[in-house]
Amino acid sequence: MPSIKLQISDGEIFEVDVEIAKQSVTIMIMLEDLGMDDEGDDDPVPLPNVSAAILKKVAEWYTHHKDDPPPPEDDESKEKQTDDIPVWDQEFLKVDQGTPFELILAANYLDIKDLLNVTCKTVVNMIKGKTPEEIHKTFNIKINFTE
Amino acid sequence: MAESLPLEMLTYILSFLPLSDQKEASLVSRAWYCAAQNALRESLGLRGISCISLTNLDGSLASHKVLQSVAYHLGPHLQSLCLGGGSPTEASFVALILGCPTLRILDLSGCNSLFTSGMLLAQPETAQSVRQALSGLRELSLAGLRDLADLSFNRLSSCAPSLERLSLAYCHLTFELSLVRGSIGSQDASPSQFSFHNLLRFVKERAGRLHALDLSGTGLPPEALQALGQVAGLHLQELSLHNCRDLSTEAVATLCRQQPGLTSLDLSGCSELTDGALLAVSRGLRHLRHLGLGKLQRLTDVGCTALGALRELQSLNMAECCLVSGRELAQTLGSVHGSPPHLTSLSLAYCSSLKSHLELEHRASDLKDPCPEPQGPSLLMLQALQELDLTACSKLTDASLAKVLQFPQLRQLSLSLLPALTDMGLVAVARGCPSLERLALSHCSHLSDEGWAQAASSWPRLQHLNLSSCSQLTEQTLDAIRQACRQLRVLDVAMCPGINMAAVRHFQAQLPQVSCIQSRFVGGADLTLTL
Repeated sequence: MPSIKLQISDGEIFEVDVEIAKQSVTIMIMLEDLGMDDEGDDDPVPLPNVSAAILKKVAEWYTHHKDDPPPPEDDESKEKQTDDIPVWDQEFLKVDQGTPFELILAANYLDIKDLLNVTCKTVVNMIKGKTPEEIHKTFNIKINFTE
Repeated sequence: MAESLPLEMLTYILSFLPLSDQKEASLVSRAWYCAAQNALRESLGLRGISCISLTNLDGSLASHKVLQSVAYHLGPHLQSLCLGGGSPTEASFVALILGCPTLRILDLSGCNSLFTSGMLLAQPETAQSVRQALSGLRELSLAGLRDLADLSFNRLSSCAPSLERLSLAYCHLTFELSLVRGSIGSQDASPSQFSFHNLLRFVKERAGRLHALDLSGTGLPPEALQALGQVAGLHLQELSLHNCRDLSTEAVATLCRQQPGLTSLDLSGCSELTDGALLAVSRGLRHLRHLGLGKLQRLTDVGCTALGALRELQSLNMAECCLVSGRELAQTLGSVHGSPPHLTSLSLAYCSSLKSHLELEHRASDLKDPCPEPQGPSLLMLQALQELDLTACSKLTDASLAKVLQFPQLRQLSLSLLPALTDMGLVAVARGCPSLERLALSHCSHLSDEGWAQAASSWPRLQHLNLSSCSQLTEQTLDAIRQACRQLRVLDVAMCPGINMAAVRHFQAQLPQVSCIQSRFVGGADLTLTL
């Protein structure tokens, strides 16, 4: 399968399947802008905002989900649900405190809507039902109302 | 780590939370507070809150803060805003409006405080910004503003270029008759008076868009109505002239010629009008859907003869037309081929001449026929009727009511102040009108528990019931109603001597969803005044 090279924040170069890479709207746009085709030149696509660990996680997530059917159109007027996270994703996202946020940032930057929604919902489920003090503890946030 | 999230991401995350969790989240840190506010703003917009009514505003700081919050949270999606009856300050009003770019309906009735100084929108920059905000405004109510003047009206109306509906009900219009008849003239806009001359100029300017006008209670004289009706390019659809007591029959006839496209006309309380007015309306306004003729005490049966020509009529209000006996009305409304099929709302309240025999009832050839097949003109033809008001039509007999009131879609019925109504009539009405949701039977002193025992089960959809002053009813009726009318919300048993407070409390305990029970002076209460 053809693959493309992605150069991440610390300069390291990753090779990823084109199909997986193209799930990211950002990468897809970059590929089109840079005039690369499926075969790929050897020039890597720069992704300075993404670290190695996160990119690995993203790729892992997409390998699992690449055969998923496309999601239905977002109904803006409905209440957003958070109880529909698939079991595999729940296990996948049982990680240390910082990773869900990094995944959120990466999913947002790479514009992968499904991953973004799943990670956001996971974080939301960590917030639901908590008092502000409990939220402080969970996410290790400094209290800074005086600033 | 959570701190490094940009505001939009945090807002997106928090927008998944239900409202109570958003509140907790807003207390976590300053960044989370801002994100929660944004998320709230978005979700309020998505929830489609597009109409808001804020009464009792004043110049206090609390009111100002309320207006600020409304502008911030709801402003972007707000379509309809009612400040009626309050006294907001000019500054807070302008601040609010500037936050509502999608406003289509604005109700400032009674907000006299905005017009007292006469300086509202006097600053050109302010006016310019407000004009941008109100560019989509379609409907404006300036009813009941005693300080409204030409200048302030002009400034406000020029900020609403797309206006289609305007109410100036009960505003103090001044009429200079010579100018009405003559040319536009060079009279300047007055800072202290609201002149008809200025209004006419406005209507001429906006003739292409304006289609609904409310000039109730302005004392409009016939010449002014004529001047309005003949404005070039004006095609009114709705016109309300409620309580314009100076209007003459000729003026109405002229109006019908000038504005044949009217779909809604309210002439209630224009006490000078005679039968000729109604005849002119019936023949000239073919598309009329809503007609108000309340309190026209000179109308007789003659005026009603042409009503059948109004084929699109949906609602007719002839309350207090006490000379109408109903003969022609039944003829024209009830005849098989001539009846307006769409009539859903009919009010004949206080039509004290309304007679029953041979007028409202069908001519049954034989008593053997159980199904009321109408043989002649009859109100029974009005099968689409949903609202009917026969309050105080004291000449109607019990038998005729029983026969006539067979309307399967009727939702609202008033038979208050009909002393002739007995249990037999009540039961017949119940069987004939099973879809009733609102029923008024106040002062029906012949109704008893036996009648209700049979009738209640026919009204499972009843929500509002008025039984005040029904002197024979006791708690047995309350029991019957409690068992049959499970959707009841409002009950009035005031001044029923046979029902006591204990029964009322028992009833309320059994049907907790009844939100309002009127029980003033129920059984045993001492009605003698002690001075």
